[in-house]
Amino acid sequence: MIDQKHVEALKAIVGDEYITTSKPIRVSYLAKSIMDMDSEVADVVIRPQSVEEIQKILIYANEHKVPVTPQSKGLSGGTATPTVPGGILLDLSRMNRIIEVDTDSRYMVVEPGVTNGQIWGYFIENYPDWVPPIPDGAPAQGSVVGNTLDRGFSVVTSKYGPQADLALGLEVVLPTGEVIKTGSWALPGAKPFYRWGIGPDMTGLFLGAQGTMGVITKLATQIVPHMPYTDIELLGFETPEELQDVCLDILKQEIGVMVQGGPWWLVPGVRQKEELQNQGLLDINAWREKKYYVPNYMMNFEIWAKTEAELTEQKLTIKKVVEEWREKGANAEVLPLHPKAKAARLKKPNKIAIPYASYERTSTRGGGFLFITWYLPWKDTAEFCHICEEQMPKYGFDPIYWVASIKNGRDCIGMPIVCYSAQDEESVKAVNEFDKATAEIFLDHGWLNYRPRKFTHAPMMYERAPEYYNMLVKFKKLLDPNGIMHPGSLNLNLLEG
Amino acid sequence: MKQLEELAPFVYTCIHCKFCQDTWTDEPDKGFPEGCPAGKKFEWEAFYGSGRMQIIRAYLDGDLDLDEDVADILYKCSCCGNCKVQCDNDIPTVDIYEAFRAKLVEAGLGSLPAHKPLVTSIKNYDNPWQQPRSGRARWAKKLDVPDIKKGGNVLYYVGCTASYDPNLKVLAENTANIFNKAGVNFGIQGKKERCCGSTLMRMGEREIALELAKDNIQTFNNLGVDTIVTSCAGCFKTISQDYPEIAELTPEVLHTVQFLDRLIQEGNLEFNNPVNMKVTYHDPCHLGKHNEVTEAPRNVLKAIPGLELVEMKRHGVDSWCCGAGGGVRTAFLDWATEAAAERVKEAESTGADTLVSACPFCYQNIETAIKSIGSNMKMIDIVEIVEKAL
Repeated sequence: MIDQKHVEALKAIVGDEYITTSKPIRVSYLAKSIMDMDSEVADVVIRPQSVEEIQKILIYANEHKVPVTPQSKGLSGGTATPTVPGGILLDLSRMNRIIEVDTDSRYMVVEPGVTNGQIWGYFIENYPDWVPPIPDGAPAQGSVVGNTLDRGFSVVTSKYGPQADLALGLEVVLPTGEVIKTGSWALPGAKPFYRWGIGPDMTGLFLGAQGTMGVITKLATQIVPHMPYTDIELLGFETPEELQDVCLDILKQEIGVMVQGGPWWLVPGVRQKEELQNQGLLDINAWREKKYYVPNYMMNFEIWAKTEAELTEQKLTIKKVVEEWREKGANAEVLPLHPKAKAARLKKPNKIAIPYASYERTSTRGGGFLFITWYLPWKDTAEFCHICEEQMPKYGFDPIYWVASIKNGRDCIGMPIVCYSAQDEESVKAVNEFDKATAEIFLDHGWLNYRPRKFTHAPMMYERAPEYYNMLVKFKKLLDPNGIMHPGSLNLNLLEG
Repeated sequence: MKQLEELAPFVYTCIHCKFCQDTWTDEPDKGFPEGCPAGKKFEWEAFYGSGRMQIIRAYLDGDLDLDEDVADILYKCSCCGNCKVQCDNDIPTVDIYEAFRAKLVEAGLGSLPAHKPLVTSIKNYDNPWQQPRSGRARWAKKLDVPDIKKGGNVLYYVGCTASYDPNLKVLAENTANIFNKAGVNFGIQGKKERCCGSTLMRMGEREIALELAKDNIQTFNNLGVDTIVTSCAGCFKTISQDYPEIAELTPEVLHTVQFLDRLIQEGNLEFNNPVNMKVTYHDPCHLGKHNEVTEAPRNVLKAIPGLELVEMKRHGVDSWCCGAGGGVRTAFLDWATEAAAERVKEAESTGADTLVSACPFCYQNIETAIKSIGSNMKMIDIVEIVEKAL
């Protein structure tokens, strides 16, 4: 618990204007949707502007064993908030400088408060030939650093890997006040051009750590070429196996920067269920009769090219693969995509994921959704689909889920989009029960949760990997001896003392 | 006027995605300009729509009591509706803020002390400007403006600001002149016109607002007119959107820009004089964000010979609010002026020398800002240009 003495000491570091104990302001940071449902209120919120201020705050917090939860600006969805009540919430939104863009070494350096929208707009204006790796379908106010630290999905993940794969180096303030840089950046005067740096790479310790190891104050990350010719090819399939196998053959030819889709349920999922029920549109056949043709399963291949000829070539390759599979008896097809749907998808960032929150909203109870995200080998995609379709209805949820390719189909990111009612305790309980049950199944398959929740994935996952967990705790103790950083998160430890 | 509890499903549907903090402009390649005047000014999450929803949810969950801190945050909002426009879950954010403000009023925490003279003035004089009822139609004395009681199928509802502000009487005069020239069979209520209650509704002062609204609805219905035309975007929002929720309102309600657009489309308004100006148009929030009336004013401006219209980056439903609404200008004049100054600078960046709008309250606030930053921008209401062109 933070008392007035602590508040006064912290005020002396950042000034009166940038620290608050106001309850409504502290409450306003709560985030109980999208990526997590466990969110607690801090005792104090501080908005530092510099590495020096963060150093002083952490040294003070470490000395007094006060928990600290760093929050960049927003994650790919939602925000990081304390997992146990109390402590300091470090809102890093004031640290929003785009420090460097190097189009020769192809990286950029940004602070944690730099948002997806900010960097996208900045590149359009200043570096239109280059793309910063921002998440697709995630809010413009989400943070590039936050999404990288969470190992999130970006607009180019299907080709280049999750956002963490693009990280080249970090600047980190440790709870002891020490500042380290990782990657080639560790060498004074060196550019952040090389991820693996001057020795065993430390970057990975902070990626996926959910702020439990230190406060990231700068990120160097790769940028990729922005191609002038873009399009989307929509593929339809009858079975998950066809989706998996046909797409893999295309992906092996390294086509598609963003390849994603799932079952037909994604179509009604962004509408209100109650209205669809009234219109009789919760059935795929009714949808086909009344609206337009919807395949059982679909994948959108977003393709980029330097020239129109290259774009055409990619489309022809997709068509050829689909035709080859059709000859083998597969029900696969290239479908027309409505220009409006195409335009909406090509816009970056876009809002396409947001309306899932309204699916379960009725006139008497609120909606909400939780993305529960898993990484798996691409060849397990069909199995993942079957499990979602079996398990989601068991817990009262329609089987709305999403799959996407990572690095040309090497891996799959699979995500039940659990549409529930945030206003209904039973519904919230069902989400947690579903999450636990499927986590067990998914872990049995050897799949990994990408942003482990404190009460479900983290303990369940680490229980199966005790050696790794024990070593992780040792690293944690080395970096954060008093356990002040985001205690409870990842189930690493609660604050000691 | 919905109660907070009725709106609760929307509050819980907020996933805290923060899309409401920017203006989207539907063209992401333009970047994402700031869209929330309160968030920009006060910076803490609580002042954005995304943060306010968490506060209101905590209140509904019984985890947060109403106090002065809560009131301070909830009243530092111009209710412009940017968050409503940007929300892809259709959360009626401003309705929620207003219903929450009503709770604050019930708890004795709202409206703010600075609002009280305004509330008392409406209660005592039927206008927020502490002016006598007798002065309401003074602007019309030397003009040929009939009383609606003598007939007419169009009620020109002037509104308090255009009626009383000496700098804005010209707006009412121009409107009456245009109607006369176009042969509109119209009239005004004169001294009998009463405040629409917009400000009260925005501030959560529902008891007095409801009484006013009910009386006005009855009066309007009894007049036997087909159409009510308002000069003020706030009056338009209130009469067209809020009144029908209280009781049935028979006449159609239009803002002046819609009525003028219709006259032009029907060939009843012809422009004979070129107006050689380069202008940019500021969308009043109660017209654009709250009613999606963005084309009509542009149609009117584009119909005027000689006039060149250039757009600001943030326009239409994505306009930057001038900062006056929701009781902000009354309680936080400096901040309201600062927000308007940002709009003036944005207007300057277009190369236009004139900033046109269609709301006397926006006019007042932007005019204050122009003076405060010493801008050469000229503020003008759309009817002044129309009148010149006839």
